[in-house]
Amino acid sequence: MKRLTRRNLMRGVTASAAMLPFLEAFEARAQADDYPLRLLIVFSPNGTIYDRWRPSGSETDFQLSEILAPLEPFKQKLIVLDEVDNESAHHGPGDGHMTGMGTYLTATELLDGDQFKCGGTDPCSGWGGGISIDQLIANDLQMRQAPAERTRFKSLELAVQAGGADIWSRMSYAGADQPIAPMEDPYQVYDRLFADLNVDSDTLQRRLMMRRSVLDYVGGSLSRLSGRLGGEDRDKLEAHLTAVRDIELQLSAAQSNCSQPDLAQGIDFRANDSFPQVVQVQSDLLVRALACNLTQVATLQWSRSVGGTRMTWANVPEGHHDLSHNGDSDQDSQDKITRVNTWYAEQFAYLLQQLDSVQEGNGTLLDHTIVLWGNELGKGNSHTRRKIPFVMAGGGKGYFPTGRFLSYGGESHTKLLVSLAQAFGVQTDEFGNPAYGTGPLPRLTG
Amino acid sequence: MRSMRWVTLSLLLATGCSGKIDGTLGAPGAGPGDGSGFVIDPETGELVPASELAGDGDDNGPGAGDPSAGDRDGEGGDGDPAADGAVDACETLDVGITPLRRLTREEYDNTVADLLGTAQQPARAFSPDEKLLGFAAGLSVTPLLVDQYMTASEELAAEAVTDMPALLGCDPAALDAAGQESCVHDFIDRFAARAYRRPLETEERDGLRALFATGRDGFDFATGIELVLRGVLQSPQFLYRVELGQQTGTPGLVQLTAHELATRLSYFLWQTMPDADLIAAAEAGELDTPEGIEARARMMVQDARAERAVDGFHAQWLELELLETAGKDPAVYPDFDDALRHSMAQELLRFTREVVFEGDGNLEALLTDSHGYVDQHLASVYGLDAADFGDEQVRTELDPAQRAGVITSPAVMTIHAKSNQSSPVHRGKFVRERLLCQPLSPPPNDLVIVPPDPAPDASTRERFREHSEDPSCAGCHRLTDPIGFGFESYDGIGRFREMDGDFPVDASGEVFASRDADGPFDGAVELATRLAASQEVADCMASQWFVYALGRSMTNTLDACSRQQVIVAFDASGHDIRELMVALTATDAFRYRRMPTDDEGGAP
Repeated sequence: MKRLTRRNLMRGVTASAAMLPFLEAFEARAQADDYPLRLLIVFSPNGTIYDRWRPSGSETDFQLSEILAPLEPFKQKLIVLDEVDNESAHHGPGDGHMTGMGTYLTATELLDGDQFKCGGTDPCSGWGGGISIDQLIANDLQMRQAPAERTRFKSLELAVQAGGADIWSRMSYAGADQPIAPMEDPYQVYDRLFADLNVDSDTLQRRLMMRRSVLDYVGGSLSRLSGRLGGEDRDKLEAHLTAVRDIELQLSAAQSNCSQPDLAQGIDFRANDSFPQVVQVQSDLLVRALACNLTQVATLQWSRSVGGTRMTWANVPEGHHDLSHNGDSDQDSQDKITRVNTWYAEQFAYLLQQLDSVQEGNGTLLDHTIVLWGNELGKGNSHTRRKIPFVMAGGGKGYFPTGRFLSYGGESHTKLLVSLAQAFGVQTDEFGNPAYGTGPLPRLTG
Repeated sequence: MRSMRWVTLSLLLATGCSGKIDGTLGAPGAGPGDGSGFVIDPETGELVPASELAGDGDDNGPGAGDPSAGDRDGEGGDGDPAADGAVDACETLDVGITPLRRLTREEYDNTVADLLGTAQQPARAFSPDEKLLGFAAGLSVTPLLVDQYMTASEELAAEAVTDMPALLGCDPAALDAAGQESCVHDFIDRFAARAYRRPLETEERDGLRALFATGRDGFDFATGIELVLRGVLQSPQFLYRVELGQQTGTPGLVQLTAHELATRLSYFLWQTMPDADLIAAAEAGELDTPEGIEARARMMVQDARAERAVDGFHAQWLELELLETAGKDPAVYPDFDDALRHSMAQELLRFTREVVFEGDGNLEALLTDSHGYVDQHLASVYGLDAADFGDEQVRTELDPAQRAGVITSPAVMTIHAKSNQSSPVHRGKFVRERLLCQPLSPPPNDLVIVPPDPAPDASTRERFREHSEDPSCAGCHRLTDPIGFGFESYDGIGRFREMDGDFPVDASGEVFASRDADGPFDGAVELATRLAASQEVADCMASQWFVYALGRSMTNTLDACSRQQVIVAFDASGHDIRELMVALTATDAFRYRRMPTDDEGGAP
């Protein structure tokens, strides 16, 4: 078992400096002021220990908490959002974990349904009830961009040990009842992102031509068949067709000049003890994808709602979810949950470090990105979806002034998602179910 | 010390410990859940199964607004459905809405092995199948999966064209252009018909021929064949089990064609595409009657491929995939490693498989037989000497006072436990949900729960006592904990124990709020015997097999006839699992399909 120490972390940071040369070609083409704005949404599960998470002090003069201490180097690039509630998770079917997860990025109640047992005021619940904010922004960007401006991938979804496909493991949705599966296998991510690099142009042309021909045939088959079906059957085939068309667009998108990164071989990406390594590798791949402009919109999901990761490397042998249920006066459990969340903060710091190490003009990739880190719960043992531990970073080219600690006294996270949409130029005051808030989160833009 | 504080007791009573069951639950295209659920009896204030309250039943209850279902009993607690009029529920032909299914990962890999003779198992790298009530049903498609389909088709095609004569049945190098063309056209007809599990339509044939020509003209002959293979393997006709059917007198209700039935039979009973023999039987009209289907299904469950269906069911019914990620604290369970984890899973499936195919074959045996399959890893879990066992799992008679079927198996006990101790709540919940089909609902949305602070110097049982003493907790936890206490003789990795730390184990328990399994018991063996005799458990088993077979849950009203057909047959067979499988194939639900429509929100 490889123990992830701060020293190892720093070694990873140093290694990333090697990324810089391959970016030069890309940078040379880009004008200093037209680096794209990127979105990166991160998730970790099972709530936090609020008193050990909340910073102290005022908006601009604050001290990070025990849990957020690893973010100290990036304090001036952070916005810590205190007392933002996930109001939408308090409505509709599903229990705390289910609603917290399914509404994190949709701000819409879960669907009624019988897919998932033991949820809701009725016996079961269905999938999430609407499009997620990352997908809304990705769609909107694609719609507004000329084909030549589009990134190769409309969005990328990566996860680390998200587990089975269910309401607890999905946070991105193409629409109601359309969960998006994240990529958990770093080797698959690598192939998907970088397989076309370093291939000679004849081979590449042949590959593209073969794929286009087949996808064209498949698209025709899907269209014809969906015309003979109705209701959800047709919806399903149309979703399939959309995915086929997206792949076709990817094939047409300009090939990146990036070189592929090195990737350690033989990682068992499903093994509990590989978790730290996979977290790091997926972060590296994602940062590379953003740096190479393969996408503007990405999500990164650590574990899953109700995830039972055993962080032996943080000296926590118990499963995270079991632990999160223990009572407030159980000091040992409180300490361990703190260590789990602090460990996640270290991983978030690593991610920020990687983003910040990519120079883009006068700023860094981090400066040109809006990073949001959230959770499906506020607190694990009560399963509350209030006081969600939200941290933002990067600020998105100054759109959200950073170096701030903002306290909201129970504002709805729906507004936070509206703020994200507006930051990306989506013309809207509403997102999800507007019953749980409209307009942007006050004061976020300064 | 209060272990749990509800906001108010009246809130609990207002919402119940679970949902009210209104008979119209479920997502569009699916009926109500198969479970009962609980409601507060307005007269007594007691928590009771919804089915005990008249007129508000789930699929177990006389359905509100469903007079035909009301004639069948078997739900109220003591009825025997076999004794009731089978005709009534079947007077009107109908079935629940049946959504389009795609191949599951397991089905995909088996299918490409049969179709191409490949040893590749590309679906192992596909994102996981979504579950319906715990069973992979192949109901949704995601952009990532579509990408994975593309990649898999490319790898399969590249492998297949390495031996062109074997693939095509001719040697293109030995043929002139006309000969090649004719060979390829024959191949397309033959290959795509197998892949689509029915004869090709003209448009499909033309499209594939054009695809071949594109590849050949742009590059070479082999590229043309690769494109055909990729095209077929990415086509919806291959990836989905398309069922357009034949019109019946009822709008929206279609009868499956012979080919579609062969496909349903094959994927249900064999987890793969139909073979040539089954297709020939379908084309000869052997599947045109329920009797014909039943006879064919009975043959098919004798085939070795049926083990896949039986394994697949039990793995998912018993949530075996959770064992893969079940983590144990090495300080508490130093023996628990991947080898033991693997042995546990293997043993459970071997047990269920051999009970079904070699043993008595019935539900009672699954729940009560006291033998295990022991190897060097499992020996210590069973208190046996590891030196007496090797890698091979050996059928071993265990102490019938300690072990009873699947519910006391090391695998199930390990899954439903915490990392460092047993878990009465999880074990009780498991029995409630997976054996009684009674889903438990969560606390109301804004309820603040303050969990108990464990007293460190107490038995597990003692630490959970708070759940039953605090009236606000007891409402829900009496459904789980008293059942779970019956498993206190098994530690967190399923070892039988007489001491829980410093305390003697007390494994007495009680079942509440079941149809016919209520009452106190001492230990899981007695519980297993009780459950094995329960009609509610048998009905639960039947409804879970229904979900597994059809990728949807039974609906209250539309599937009344099919439900009755299955339960009558299952009971009449002495709860024989193979007969249950056969009976499912002869139902209306298996032979017909109600197509989803744009306006299904109002469907019953």
